[in-house]
Amino acid sequence: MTSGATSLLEVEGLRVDFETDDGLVTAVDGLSLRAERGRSLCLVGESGSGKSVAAMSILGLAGANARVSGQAWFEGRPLGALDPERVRRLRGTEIAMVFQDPLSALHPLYTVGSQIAEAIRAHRTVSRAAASRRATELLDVVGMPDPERRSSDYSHQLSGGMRQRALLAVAIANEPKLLIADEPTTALDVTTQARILALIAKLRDELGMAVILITHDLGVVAEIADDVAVMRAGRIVEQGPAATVLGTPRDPHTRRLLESTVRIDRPPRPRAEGVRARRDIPPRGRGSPLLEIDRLVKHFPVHAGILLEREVGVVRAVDGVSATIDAAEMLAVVGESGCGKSTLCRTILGLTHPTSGSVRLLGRELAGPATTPARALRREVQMVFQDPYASLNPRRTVAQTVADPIVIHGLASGAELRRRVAGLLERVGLESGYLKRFPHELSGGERQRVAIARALGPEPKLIVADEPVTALDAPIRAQVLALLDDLQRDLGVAYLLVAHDLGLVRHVADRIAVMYLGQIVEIGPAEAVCTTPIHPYTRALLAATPIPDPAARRDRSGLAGDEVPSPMAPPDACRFHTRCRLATSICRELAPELVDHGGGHLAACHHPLGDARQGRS
Amino acid sequence: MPRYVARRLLWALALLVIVTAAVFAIFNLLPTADPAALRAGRAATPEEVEQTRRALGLDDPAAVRFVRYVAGVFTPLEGGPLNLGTSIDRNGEPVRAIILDRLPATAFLVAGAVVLWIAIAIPVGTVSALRRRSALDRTTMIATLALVSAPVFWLGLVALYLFADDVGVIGIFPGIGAYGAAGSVFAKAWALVLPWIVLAAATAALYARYVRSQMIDVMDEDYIRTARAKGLPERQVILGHGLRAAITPVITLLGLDVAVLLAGNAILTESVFNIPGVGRELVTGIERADFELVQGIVLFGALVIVVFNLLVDIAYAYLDPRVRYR
Repeated sequence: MTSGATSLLEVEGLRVDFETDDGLVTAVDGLSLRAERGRSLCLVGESGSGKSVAAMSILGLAGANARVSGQAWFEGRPLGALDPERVRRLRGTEIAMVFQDPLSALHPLYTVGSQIAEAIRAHRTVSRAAASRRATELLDVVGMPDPERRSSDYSHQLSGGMRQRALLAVAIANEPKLLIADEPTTALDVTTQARILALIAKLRDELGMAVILITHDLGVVAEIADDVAVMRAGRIVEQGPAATVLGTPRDPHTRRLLESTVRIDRPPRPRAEGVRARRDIPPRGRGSPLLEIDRLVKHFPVHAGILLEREVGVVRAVDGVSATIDAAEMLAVVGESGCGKSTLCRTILGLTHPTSGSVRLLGRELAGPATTPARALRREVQMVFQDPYASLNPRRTVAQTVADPIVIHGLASGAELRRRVAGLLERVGLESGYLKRFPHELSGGERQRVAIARALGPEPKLIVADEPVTALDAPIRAQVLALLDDLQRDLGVAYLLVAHDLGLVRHVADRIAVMYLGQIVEIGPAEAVCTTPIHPYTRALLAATPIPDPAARRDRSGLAGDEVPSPMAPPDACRFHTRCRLATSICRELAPELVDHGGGHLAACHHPLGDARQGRS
Repeated sequence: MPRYVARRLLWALALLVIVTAAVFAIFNLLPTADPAALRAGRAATPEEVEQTRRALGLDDPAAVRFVRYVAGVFTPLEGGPLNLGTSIDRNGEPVRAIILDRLPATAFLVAGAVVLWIAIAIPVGTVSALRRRSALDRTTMIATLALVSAPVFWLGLVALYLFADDVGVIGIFPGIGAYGAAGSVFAKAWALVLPWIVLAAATAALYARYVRSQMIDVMDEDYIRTARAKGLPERQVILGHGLRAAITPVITLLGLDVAVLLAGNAILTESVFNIPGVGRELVTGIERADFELVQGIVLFGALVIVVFNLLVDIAYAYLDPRVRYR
């Protein structure tokens, strides 16, 4: 990239300081970048690296307490130090933006169509009716199903993917020359992420836009970036064409980011602190399993009616799930949002009673429609939640938090309790200095370590972890997963690990169960599920998982339909047939059973992919 | 939306019956002074008291009396609808007529005060929220704290002492009793200027603080950033997107506050300025042990609150689609 006035946007020496009560805090420190027409530039970095602040200040939206300096040019015209007044005139017409959380980024009280029409009418003199017609057209352009109806919907009536499409429609309403996307797919499922990234690339090509995409995920970078700029502590540490930066990274920070990104297409990488191959999986079915989930069903009634509310339907959150977990085994449950994986966790933990079926731990009933397990049995199952910011009491110290379950179960007190708590913290890699700290003094990864220490306190046999690393940055994710792995090996604790990303669990789980609309469609050894999937849905999930290598870029939409059907009215027979490219008439008539395809690898499908695979080889 | 309204309506009706039963129980089943004795007069013989009791049907079983009472309140039977009984103290004047006679004064007082406090609270709260921690914000928030803390009767007396045209230091506004003496609507409005200010002051301060905190939260929302990213003028971002979202919960609060004031809670202001409203009538009823008048006003107040609750629910659904589709 040589200099020249042809760049769409040019930023030189951008510096952003925030005025806080503790003085000036520097968020961006001398950043220079260029955005070219028809190309995507990815700004990559961990949280706190200043990438979002940089993007917001390009739009003049860094906030009232931000001090911005530097130089910028848009189509060769100077913008000064991104002077908010001058940038404002470009906003919405020349430069548009989409944000991370599409639910909170749309106004809850206006229809989607009116929010798009408003963007049009803010910059052009057109009639209300014409703007509204154009809004529907734009919804069609961004691939919104049934755009006319959706145009008069409110954001809470749309799925996450539809919301992000609506937000993109707002952004392209005036055919901007530059689109800034701040983590546009982080809040979405991998399947939806693949489609939204493809849509952004398509809009870029059709409108000739420059795209600046901010992300922490190198897989996303490889998927869409022409150029990459890696940020750290407010500075760009490396930039260049995507293939070069990801292929032959020069900066150690870039290499660290790459190494910590788990890859779905690679066998497990030996870990830095000691080579360890995946433990040999003990032959299953010998002796009785630790946990038995037996035809578990959880339906949530839906009420309607005028005075006395009648039950008009049920949400089939979990609809006949059977599985087992052996001692010291990690079973990962994977599926799109709404597939019932979190409800499965809650039912196993006894936070909600199942509608029917049962869960047994060591042969004793842990959960059933009318089961209240003894406290001694509950002790054996502990939990780790997704959001470490919300799952720790902000008014209790780390020591108090970790001590709680030990005290509740009456396992220790006094000096013995203190000794145990200190031991647990050491076990999860935190020094004794952390004992007296409060959650707000900890980073996300440290908080999740505290949550894990708390779960270990009563020495459980099973830990149920609901998306324990989803809220963390990639390098921290790898560390926390490695910790779970170590604990499994050293303490013999078993896990039920819920995730929405197959790539993340491939290298830590012993077995993987893939859930779709409340049912398990495939379950088997982790390697087998990831390398030789049987169910078309598993293959679609695998295809949707981005790989941090631009050479591996391909069509990632392995699904025939975009939206998951409602769990209130799941499709008849095979629930996946509405989105399956292989579906035939039998899939619409007969529900497939889980069938063993050898080696403990089960799948419920009339057209198992194994057949095709054998045909190829 | 029609389903939602129908459901709220049915709930409101059910609530009306429950509230009526509760009021009936409080005044008829709990031990009180014997209403027959009160009616029969001070020098009545036991026979006369019994005669009165029979004449008024007070010797019937409670269930029969309750059915009669409900029928009178809600249906055209038994002297209804809205037959709230007759005043003991005023020779059988219907309570309904007394309330309807006093209601305009209260309604006028409340309506003016509402307009005043909303007109003050929304701009003050919004500007304070936008200029958080500025001198303006701090000054107004301290002032509102002072106003919230000031008792209404004290504020009323201070206002009279400063501004009333008879006793005031700067006598520009009509003072005590001016409303009763005023003839035309304009004269009445002029007479209510001081009461409006006094009644609105504390509430305006409370609402300003509420609008401010709502507005601070809303302006931090992602959708405000989206509105700015669209390139909307800041005015439109604040009014069309910010205030529109911040105002919705304020409407809920407003409906209930208005209902409570209409139900007789403007009593202090009415007393200080000697305005012949519902609240002052309630005080008179209590002072003179006018059992049926008090019962009537209490039930009337409860009905007003139920009806306003219904209106608030409907308004809320109209303003917030997330409620509508539930």
